Amino acid sequence: MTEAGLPLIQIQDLTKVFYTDEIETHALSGIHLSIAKGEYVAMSGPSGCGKSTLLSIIGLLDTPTGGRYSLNGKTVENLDFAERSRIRNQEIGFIFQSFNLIGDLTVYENVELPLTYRQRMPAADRKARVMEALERVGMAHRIRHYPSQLSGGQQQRVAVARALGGKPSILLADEPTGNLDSRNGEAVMELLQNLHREGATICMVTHDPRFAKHAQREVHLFDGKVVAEEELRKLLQETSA
Amino acid sequence: MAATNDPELANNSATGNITISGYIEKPQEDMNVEQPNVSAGYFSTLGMPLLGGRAFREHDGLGSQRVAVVNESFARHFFGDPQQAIGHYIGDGTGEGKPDIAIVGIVKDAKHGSLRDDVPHAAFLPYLQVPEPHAMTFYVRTSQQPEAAESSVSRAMQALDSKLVLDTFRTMDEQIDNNLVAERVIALLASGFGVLAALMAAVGLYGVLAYSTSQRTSEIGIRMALGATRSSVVKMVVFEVLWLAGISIAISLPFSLLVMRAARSQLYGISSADPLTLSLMTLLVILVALASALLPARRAARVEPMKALRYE
Repeated sequence: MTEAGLPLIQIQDLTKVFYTDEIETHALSGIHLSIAKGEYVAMSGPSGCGKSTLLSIIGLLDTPTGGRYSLNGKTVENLDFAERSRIRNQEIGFIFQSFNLIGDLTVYENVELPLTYRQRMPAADRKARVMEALERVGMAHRIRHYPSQLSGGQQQRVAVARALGGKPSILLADEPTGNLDSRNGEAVMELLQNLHREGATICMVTHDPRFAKHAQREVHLFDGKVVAEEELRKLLQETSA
Repeated sequence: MAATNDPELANNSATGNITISGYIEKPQEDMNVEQPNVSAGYFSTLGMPLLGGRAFREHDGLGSQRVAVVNESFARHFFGDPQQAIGHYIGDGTGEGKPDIAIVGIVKDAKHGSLRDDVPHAAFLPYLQVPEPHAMTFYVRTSQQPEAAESSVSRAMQALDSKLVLDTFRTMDEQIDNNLVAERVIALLASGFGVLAALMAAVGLYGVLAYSTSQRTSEIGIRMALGATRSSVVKMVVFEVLWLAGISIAISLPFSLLVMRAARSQLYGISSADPLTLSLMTLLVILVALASALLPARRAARVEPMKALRYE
């Protein structure tokens, strides 16, 4: 819960419909979800169930078709682009499956990038934040390296540092281990768990049950709806049959 | 009103060799000077200020002391100080007979054959002291409009002699324009090619930017996901274009100074390193670069982060 007693994220009856030509695709239907401050939530489900779409809406990268969404007590579903950019920059830290580091920038510059969009942040503060974040993920010794000079696991650590640098309210991780081998995958999961122990709020999308178990709570999605674990198991069995 | 056999700015020349009493010619020195035959009132009509001595008078005719008025260049070249020329004598031809033409005045330098040429050394002679003056050009200084002045001049000529015909009538401004026809054509062609080059540069720059921006769709999406606003994306693209423009200006400016120095002889009324021209050129390059960046920058700003993050 936030300081005001409200959940950090509160989603009510959220829907998302994609319109292509004359086809309506209901990606999300009537989603209700609350995430408290300091919670570590995993969203799992089969491919195409809508978990990444939900994460995009939570991360203000996409807008819902209907429903209500409040982040840190503020209604955010109908904000304009500039305001969503500002909130993304200040409240949300993204960790992507394909790392999404910018190849022309060094490790330091990549981690500094979100901070450069904050007006009135002195360069000295930015530097301190960047170095602190890189030290937390054990990548402070590679600040002058370019992403292409790093392994996948190291790149994902840098991406985590980039997400941490802005001291966001929540970390959103979309299949953070999807492009990593099992060893590096485990290392990143351990890193997320350490961050959670230090107080970070994390919402992670994964289709891998092994990694979902690292979270405090699992939210299961199927065909754009939140379902209980038992129900998901049953639905999956029916689908495979 | 005034007359001359050697009109100004008409690519005309009436030259002849001279001898100067007391002046020792240097080996191979060119003693050929411009020698227009002009009427009294010529200098005041043409607005050529007298720097010393006197101008021609009506009584400077055949039988009276032969006189000359020299220009500043002439006086400075042959006598050092212009004022020293007055009272000296010059003669027609080189080494033939005694110089008998007294220098009675000095006038300020003025362009003669064309605006492009240097001011020649000139010794003006009164046309009334020329035994058979011919083919004279007349100048009228008037406050009338050119059209009104033309009919006034025609009427005056008719009153003088009904057989006289006004052949060509033009203002001094028209004369100057005629004198600059070649330069104007070259300037027009150069401007045309310049505009074409600017357009080609703009199209080329637009192509490069459009391509590089499309190649960076994914990067722009990442930046937007991390908090970049549309305006900061536009700023990023524009800043990169201005950076490129700055580099091109830094390279081309010294080069253009060199080229302009080489073309100095073709310039009139402007220095080869005119700050205003160079500033306008620089501004033009920046404007062309900004115009080229406008569409790619707007396209980049319209990128949807969700789509861009999926873009390969």
